[in-house]
Order: sequence, then C-alpha cells, then structure tokens
Amino acid sequence: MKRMLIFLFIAFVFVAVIGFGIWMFRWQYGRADEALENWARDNNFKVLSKQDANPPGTGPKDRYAGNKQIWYRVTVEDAGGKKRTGIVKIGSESTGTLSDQISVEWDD
Amino acid sequence: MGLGDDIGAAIDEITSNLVVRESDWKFVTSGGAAVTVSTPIARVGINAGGGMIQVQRDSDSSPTTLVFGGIGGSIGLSLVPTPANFSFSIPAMPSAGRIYKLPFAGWTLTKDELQGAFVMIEAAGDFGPGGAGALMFMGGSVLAAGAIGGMTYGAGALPTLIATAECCVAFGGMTASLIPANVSLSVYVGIIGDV
Repeated sequence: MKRMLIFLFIAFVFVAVIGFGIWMFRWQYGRADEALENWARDNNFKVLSKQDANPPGTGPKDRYAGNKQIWYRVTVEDAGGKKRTGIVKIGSESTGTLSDQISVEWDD
Repeated sequence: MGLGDDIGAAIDEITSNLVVRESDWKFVTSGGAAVTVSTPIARVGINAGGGMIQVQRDSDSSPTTLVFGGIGGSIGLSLVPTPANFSFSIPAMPSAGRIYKLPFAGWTLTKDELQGAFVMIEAAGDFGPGGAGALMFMGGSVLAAGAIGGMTYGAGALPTLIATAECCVAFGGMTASLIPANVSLSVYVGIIGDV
C-alpha cells in the first residue's frame, strides 16, 4: 500500500508538472496574442498577418532562454489604409509575457 | 571518578552528537528521472523528479531501497532550444555517495530518520551523457518549516527543512539527457520513503 502511494505520488508529480508546463506554454502565447490585439486597437492598426519571429534561443520555446519575449513579425494596416511591416516584441526579456511591455521595430 | 568528571563526560557525549559525521549507512546505488519545463522567467525552469536510493548498513543482509519524488525549480543554460527536457539515470550507471548524520538525528541514524520530507540541491551537466551531484537533506521538520514559512511568506520553509534535517546524502553519478548540452542547478522538495 505504501509502495503504491509513493509511486502514485511520483506519477502525479510528473503529470502535474508536464501539464503545468503545457498550460504555461499556451498561456504565454495566449497572453501575447491578447497583448498584440490590444496594441493594434490602441494604435488604430488592423493586424493583417503575424508570424513567429523569435530568434533561436529566445522565447518560451527555450526553457533556459535569456530572453523570454515573444516576437511576432506583423503586417498591419493603419487608419489611412497604409500597410506597415515590423517586429512586435511582447513582454520583457527577464519575465516574458508576465510583463505588459510591448515594443515595435518597423521595417521602414 | 568524581561528579565533575561525570558531567564532563556527559557534556562531551552530548556535544559529540551535535556535529555532522558520516553515518554507518553506506550508499549502494541510485537512479532517477527528471523532467524540466519552461517558464516565462528567463533561465528558470520547473522540474519534477523521482527516483530511488539504495543504502545499507554493515549489519544489514540486504540494501534498503528509498523511493523519492518531488518538484522544484532550476536555473540553467542549454545549447538546444526546447520547451522541455527529460533526463535520467539508472542504477547500473556509475554512482557514488556518502550518508551523513546531522545534529537533529538521534545517537545513531535509524531507517525512519532517512524518510519523510526532503530537500535536494542538484548540479548537473551533460552533452547527452553527463553527470550530476546532489545533496539530499532528509527528515526535516515539516511542522517547523510550515511555521517558519508562514512567518516569512514561504521564504524560510526550505532553509528550515534543511536546518532541521536528520541526515544528508551526498551522492552523484552518470546521467543522460534526451536533449543534450545543458548545465543546471536545481532545488527539489518532496517526500522519500522505503518500499
């Protein structure tokens, strides 16, 4: 009985941490999408397209990354109908999407 | 022998118990597995770990197997970017260790004192095959850790578990990782018991 409880506990810990990891991974991208939508609305942009643009070794896809921001390459249309492209960096380098920071590097 | 000598001998006996010394338990082998997942915090992961340690006293006919499981956090570096990783060791891999009796234990270290809550601090590095070394503090007071942790917003819980531990196993050995090229420092907290 004791052996069974210990093995069940270990199995529970592994499943819980893996489940939490999956949830946290999805949560970061969900929060990034929400931040991108808010940023576009606040600046009167319409997001026409977005693609992952994190350089290797950054973002949530690297567990020990030094930079946990989520980068999107976006094409937006402003209120005047002009299209612009650039990279939107969501979150902070040290705390990722736990932070509300957002910055843009336009191509033009 | 006068009363003074008796008191002196008693004090010597008490103080001799308050030092860290190697116990009569011997490390036999160990094995385990750990999974690490990404967090939003730079260079920080969350870990789940589990495994077994076999220990034996000279007077025992067979080793005692202690099974442990816990969760923890890690800081590290990895050359291959992945959101999760898995590492393991098996008892057949080379490993070595020593078991120390800490001041909170009785005069001798019993099997019961090797069980209960544990805190493990582990340093590991690999390029696929690799190595790890760990200090596992066992038998700490959960009650004291809860009380101190409650007063310190949780910050004092782990130090209290370590400070009140009855024994420490210093062990290390060969490991292997699914995604190679990592170095990490991890802290686990969990439970350990015999099976």
